[in-house]
Amino acid sequence: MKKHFKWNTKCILCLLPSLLGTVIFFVLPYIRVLYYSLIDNQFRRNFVWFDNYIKTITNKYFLLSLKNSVLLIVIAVPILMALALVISLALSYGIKWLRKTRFAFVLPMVIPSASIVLIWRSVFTDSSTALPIYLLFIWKNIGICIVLLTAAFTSIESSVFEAARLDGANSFVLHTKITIPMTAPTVFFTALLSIVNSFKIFKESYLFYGTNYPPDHSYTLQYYMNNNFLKLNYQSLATSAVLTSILVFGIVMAGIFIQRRFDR
Amino acid sequence: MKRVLSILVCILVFICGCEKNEIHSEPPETNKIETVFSNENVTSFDINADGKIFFFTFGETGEFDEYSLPDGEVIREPIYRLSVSAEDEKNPRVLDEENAPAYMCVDGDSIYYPAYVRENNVESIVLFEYSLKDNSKENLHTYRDITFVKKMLLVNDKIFMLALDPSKYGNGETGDDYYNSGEVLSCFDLVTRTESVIWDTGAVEFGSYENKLVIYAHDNDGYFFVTCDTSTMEYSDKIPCDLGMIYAFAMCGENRYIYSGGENAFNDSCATMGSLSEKGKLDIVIGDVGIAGNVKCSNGRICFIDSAPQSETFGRLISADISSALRTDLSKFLTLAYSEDPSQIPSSMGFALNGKRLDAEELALTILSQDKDFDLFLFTSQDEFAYNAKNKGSFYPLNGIDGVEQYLNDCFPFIGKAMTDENGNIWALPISIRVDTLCYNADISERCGLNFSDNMPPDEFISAIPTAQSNELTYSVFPNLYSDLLLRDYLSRNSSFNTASFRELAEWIKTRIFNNEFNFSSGDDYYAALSSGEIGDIDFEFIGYPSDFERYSKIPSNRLARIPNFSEKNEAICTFICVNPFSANLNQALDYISLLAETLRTDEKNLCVSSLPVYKMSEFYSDLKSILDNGSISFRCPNEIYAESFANYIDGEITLDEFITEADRKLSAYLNE
Repeated sequence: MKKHFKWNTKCILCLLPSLLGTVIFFVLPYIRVLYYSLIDNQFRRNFVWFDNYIKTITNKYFLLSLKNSVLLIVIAVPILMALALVISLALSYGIKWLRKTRFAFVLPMVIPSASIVLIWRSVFTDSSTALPIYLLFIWKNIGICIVLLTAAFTSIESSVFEAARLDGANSFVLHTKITIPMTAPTVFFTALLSIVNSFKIFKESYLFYGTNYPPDHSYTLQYYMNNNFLKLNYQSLATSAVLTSILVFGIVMAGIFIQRRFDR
Repeated sequence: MKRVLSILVCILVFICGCEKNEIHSEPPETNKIETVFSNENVTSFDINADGKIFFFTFGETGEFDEYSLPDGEVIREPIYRLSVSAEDEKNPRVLDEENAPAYMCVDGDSIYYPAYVRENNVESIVLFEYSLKDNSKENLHTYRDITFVKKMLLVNDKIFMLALDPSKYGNGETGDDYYNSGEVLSCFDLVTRTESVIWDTGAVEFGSYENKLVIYAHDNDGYFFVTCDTSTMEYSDKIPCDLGMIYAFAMCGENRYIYSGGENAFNDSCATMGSLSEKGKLDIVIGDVGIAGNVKCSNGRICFIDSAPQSETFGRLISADISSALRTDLSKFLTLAYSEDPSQIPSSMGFALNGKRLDAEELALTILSQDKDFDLFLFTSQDEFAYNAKNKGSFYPLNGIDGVEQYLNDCFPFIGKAMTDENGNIWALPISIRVDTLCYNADISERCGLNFSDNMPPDEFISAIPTAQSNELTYSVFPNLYSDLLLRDYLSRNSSFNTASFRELAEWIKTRIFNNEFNFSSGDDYYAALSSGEIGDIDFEFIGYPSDFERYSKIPSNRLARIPNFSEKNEAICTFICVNPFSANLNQALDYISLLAETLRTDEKNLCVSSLPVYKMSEFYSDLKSILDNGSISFRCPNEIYAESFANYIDGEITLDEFITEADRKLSAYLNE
């Protein structure tokens, strides 16, 4: 018992610096944002409880931005994952011509956003759809997804496949019973990362459209929050930030739930 | 354990929400600056121990050098010579000197100055002494190692020179600033006639007070001051102080200094006073002048050569009274943040008012983070966030502050209404008002058959321009300005572009204002009148600033009319000041507001006050009052909503329907987010 206690204490002490940083720079600010979302303004600070949430949820521009953000996740992320999986598989199978071009997949990660957008604007002159932004998101993030998935595929030991073949397993069985289960955690992690990165496409989108008010199809949650920040509407900003965090939390929890069910 | 942690977190959150206010301060004095005198073509100057100003001028002597060319042509070139004079002398003395030195020092009957001398194809800096007694000139010393002189002072029989040493020249950086290293501070002892380098790294500026030398320099840790007793040549410890890159510097007291440039000036025509021992800074507005290079202080005066090319006194020696600023207690300071270069800076009311410019994002972040470092905010109704600042309760309510309500009651009703939010809280104090008007010469207009008046329809106004052109009147009505005024006026009354009235307005603007059929400006004669200051030659134009009204009102036949537009109201732009509720000096800030309100209420130049005596003094100002009586302040939406798209529509790149669709979408988002 004493040993157990000592070990726990040592663990907590080792974690303390990191935990302190997380509390100071993430937890406390989040609690403060939560507080801002429950008051009427920065000076009077009267509690209005969920009035701000009702105003935000019923705001048509918040709903528009939420819809656009969800669409980006629902459409662009699966396409990104599918492309990344195919390319990763091809790389892990050692296709020569593809191996020579693997540097090209990582290049979008290192090129500055402003340079990318400059090229994008000259290529995509029609802004009547959100296609340029979707393609930009996929192109920019495919590199990291390929890196992660390729690492996952190549980490499976060949002896496992050999043993399975000896037991009479065909390709379909090898993929469904070995490859997929063993790479599932990385695939889920990569999907989650892509979903989080979908919220970061704001920078490129802002540079592409060059305005705080892009076309309706590209008006995402970040635009809504950024515009409210500039208009000193901190309560709306705080409320939408909390709602966004709930959305992301829900997505992460759903992903974990699916992964655990899959593991079983 | 979990319970303890959660309690600790809650306590931390509540502690963060608690604030403390500073102790109440004593009432301050009023600060005032005046220009005293000026002279022309001044290259350098100095003030002697008695406070008398001596200066060099460099000009033509009236004599000529003649040169014969190989083809026999004779060229005559005027001879330029240096002259020295004092402020109370009429006849300057001409020196035998072809250089125009940028610096000089006066001590008794001697004037010391550096000049470039070329010998054997090598150019050196030579220190000369000129005697006012016998007009003789003596070569005191030749500097071998330094090239360019940046500043020179005489302290305690020693000539200190800030100059460049090419051997130490290079590029380096302190923080975000790049500087040319290689500045050295050289000392030439007039008694022993020896030279030495007393500071050889990062000297930016220096000044002196009595026997003390104060050096502003930098090293890898940043900028700092260091003082030197010139009797013993002993140095003090470093006094960290980041003024940034400054253009001019002078000591004006034991610990007081004055400088221009850096990060904390309201604009280029400000000098800033600081102290080696106190934290506060005081911005001093001297006028539409440029302060750079040589600056001297003596007997409560600051002297400098005006370096602003657009200034009426460019190249002239200016002396301004700063005695009241010297009496200001710099321990009582307030920091004022402003969004753009303010057209009207509030009086400091005896406080050390330190200004800092913030862009929209910085301001939003400052308010969100409840930054205690700022005490006051100064912005205008044109600023994009002004509307939301009014409605979001981000500023300290000024109800109950002495003088504020009385001042607002004395202002035009539309100003008082704009400064009060929907809950009746007074969120700002108006400092100044400007309203765009049409200023016209009534006599000339009548003679030409132009009937400018308050009820002039826009069509009639546009039709009057060809008449003005044919009568060769001097005028200017900038199409872009007029178009912008009309659009802003429309937006102040409407929340959508998709209306019949806007379609009419847009077509009208495109066909009548931008049709290029006639000139909206009379061209060179207008700009010539403007640059020469002969505003009496201008027959009509748009004016809006209080300083413009003051100037144009001096022409007896000048009258004012509202800008011809399609509504009845006249849009005005108000500059106002708000108090940061989280200020570390909240009580001082509120004291300042109270004093400012009282001063503004009785200020004869403050056009916000409707009962100002000047409104009854002339027809010009009576016209202005009529315009303001019908005024309104609208907190405008950002230009990006419509400006670029409208310009594309005017250029024919998009149709009106496309503009309306695009602009309405953005406007709807802006208003309803």
